[in-house]
Formats: sequence, structure tokens, C-alpha cells
Amino acid sequence: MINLDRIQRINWPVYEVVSDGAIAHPDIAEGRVIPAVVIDTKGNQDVQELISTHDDSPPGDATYTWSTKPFNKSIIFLTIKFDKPLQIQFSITFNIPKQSIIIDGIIKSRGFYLLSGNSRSKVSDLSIKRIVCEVPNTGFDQIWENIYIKSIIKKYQKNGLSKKSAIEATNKHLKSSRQLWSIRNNSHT
Amino acid sequence: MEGLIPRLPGGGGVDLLLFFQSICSAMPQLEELSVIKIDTLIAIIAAAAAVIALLISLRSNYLAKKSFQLSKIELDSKKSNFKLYLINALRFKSKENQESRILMFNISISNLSESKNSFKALLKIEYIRDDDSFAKTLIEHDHNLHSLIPNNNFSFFLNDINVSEKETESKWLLFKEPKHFLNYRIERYLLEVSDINGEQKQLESTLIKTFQLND
Repeated sequence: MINLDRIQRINWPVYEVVSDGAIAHPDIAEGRVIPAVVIDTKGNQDVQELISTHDDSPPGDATYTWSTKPFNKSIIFLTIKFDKPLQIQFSITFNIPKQSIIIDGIIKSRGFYLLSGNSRSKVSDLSIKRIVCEVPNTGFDQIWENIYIKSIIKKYQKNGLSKKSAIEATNKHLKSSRQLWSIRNNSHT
Repeated sequence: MEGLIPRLPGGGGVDLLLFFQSICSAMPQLEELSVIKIDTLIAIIAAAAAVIALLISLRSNYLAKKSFQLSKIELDSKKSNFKLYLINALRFKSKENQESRILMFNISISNLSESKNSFKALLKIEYIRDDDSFAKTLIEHDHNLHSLIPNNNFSFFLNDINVSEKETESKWLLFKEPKHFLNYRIERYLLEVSDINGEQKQLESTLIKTFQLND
């Protein structure tokens, strides 16, 4: 049963992830590996200004909301609302079959680097300005876990595995893919 | 004649004989008929035996076919049969040595066969040189590269990858990217996994995420 009160029309800019990567910095998030997401803001100056003002630092007060499309579980939105110093709101869309690793990384690392660029932009290019977004658990963790596990089981079943074998394969899959987010960069120590 | 008529327990056979004899004396032509009946009976028994033999041979033929099919299924299930799944692809760069780059592929190998199998992994890189000429290079998975990635707890495939029957293994593969690739445009990365029977499967990746440890 869909709770209609929880359905909201998006009337703010929505950006797609055009490139991604991962960075571990000893001064940020205790050196954990954090996903980096490049969005193409198509010249939206608000977002570019926000990123250049807070280069490499957390951007003040912000609220984060994860949401899915009604009747379409393959797209996930992360809506970010900044209150200070700029008041802006925008959403980033993630395609689950293609970008589940990034969503999982954001949830496991509790944050991500946000960069503005295009599909040729590389996360390793230090000339591209970036901000660190800290995404708290808003109750979406368990929902994501269920969506993610179901999508992986389905892929293995398509590959010819029985349901029991697909569940076992999914456990190993999650274990190895999440090893990336547990690395620590302690180069200062 | 008497010997052909079954004797019932308690002298029932005698009564039956007397009954037949009384009918035969009353109708003499029935005696001839009863003789024909015995011949027919023998023929029927012979025909029934032939039908039973036919049924038995059909049944054994069916069982032989079924046993052949089962043996074929068993043989097929022991043949090479595996599937690959690309989970993640990363290029590891450390800030202190930008030129040393390691390509990391997180893959799953599902061995769908009833017997265990061994695999080798190769990375084929297709690239375009500065003069627009097209070239390919092959690099072998090297487990020893793991020591170049600091503070890691990744589970890497050994150079000889073994996967038990009906099992799936999800681990990481490591390839050292040649230094001269820094200035070339990479067209695509083809991950080739082949087993001991020569069966080969490929995974293609055009996008590789950068994974960097900053100072």
C-alpha cells in the first residue's frame, strides 16, 4: 500500500551522475574511502558557487532525503537541501543496475564528495573543486539493504544459479564489494 | 482331457469333469469344439507370451534410453560451465607515485558445473596511440601486487583461481597498468577468464573509477 502523504512532486533541479570514483583522505572521515560523484549541473551557478565556496570541506547545514520513484524501484533520488550559506535544493538520480556500488558506498561511508563537471571529468583531477557531503542515516539504510540484496540475487538467478546458490553468491558479492569502503588512509600517522 | 481340467480343492475338479462329460454326451458336437478351444487356448497363451515379451522389450528399451539420457545429463553437468559478473572496476593511484597505477577488478566467478574448475585471468587493453594507430596489450592477473595497496583488507584471487563445484567466488583481480599508457586513449578493457578445458568468457568495461589515496 502506497502512503500518498509520502509522495512528493519534484520541482527542483535533478542531476544525473556522469562520472564517479573514490577518495581516501587522512583528514576526512578518519581516512575512510569515500565515493566521489560528478554531476553535470549544466551551468547552474548556485551549485557551482556552493562547491567553490566550500572546496574540500563540509558545506554547513544541509538535509538529505533518499527517495524512490513510485512503481519504479530502479531509480533512487538523493535530495539535498542546503540552508546556509546558500539556500538551494537539488536531487541526484542514481540508476540501481548501473550505480548501486556508489549508493552502497555513500550509505556505508556516510558521505560523498560532490564535484561539478562532465562525463570526461576525473575524480583524480585535483583542479576540480569538490565538497564533502555528510549523509546521516535517515532510516533508509534497511530499505536500501533490501533493494540492493534483491537486485543482486536477481542477477545471479539470471546467470543460472538456483535461489539458494544465488543467496550464497550474494553474500560473497557484498563481502568483497564492501571491502573498498573499509580501507583507511592513515598516511599522517 | 482329465489332466487339463483343474481340480478344485475338496474334489471340485471331479464335479467339473462330470459336468463337462454330461454336457458332451448331451451335445456330441461340443467335444469337437472343446478340442478347438484347447488349440486356441494354446495359441492365445503363445500370443500373450509374445505380447508380454514385446512389452518387456519395450520397457527395457525405455529404461535404456532413460539411463542414456541420465548419463548424458551427468556428463554435461561435469563439463565446463561458468559465468562471470563484473561488480566493480577501479584504477588505484597513490599520490606519491602517480605513474604507478593498478587496475582492480572485483568479479564473481560462478562455477555451474558438477566438478571443480581452475581459471586464469587476463586483461586485454585496447588503446589508441598518439598517431591514431590502434593496439592491444595483454596483462596477467598478479596477486603479488596486493602489497602495493596500503592498509587494504581486500580478498584477492590467487594467480591460479580454483572454484569448487556449484560455487561462486567474489574477489578482486589485480593488473599493473603499463606506464606508457598514461598518454594513450584507452578504448576498452576486456577481462578474459579461461578454465583448464580452454573454455573462455569475457567481461567488458569501458569505465573505470579512480580510487585515490590522498596525502
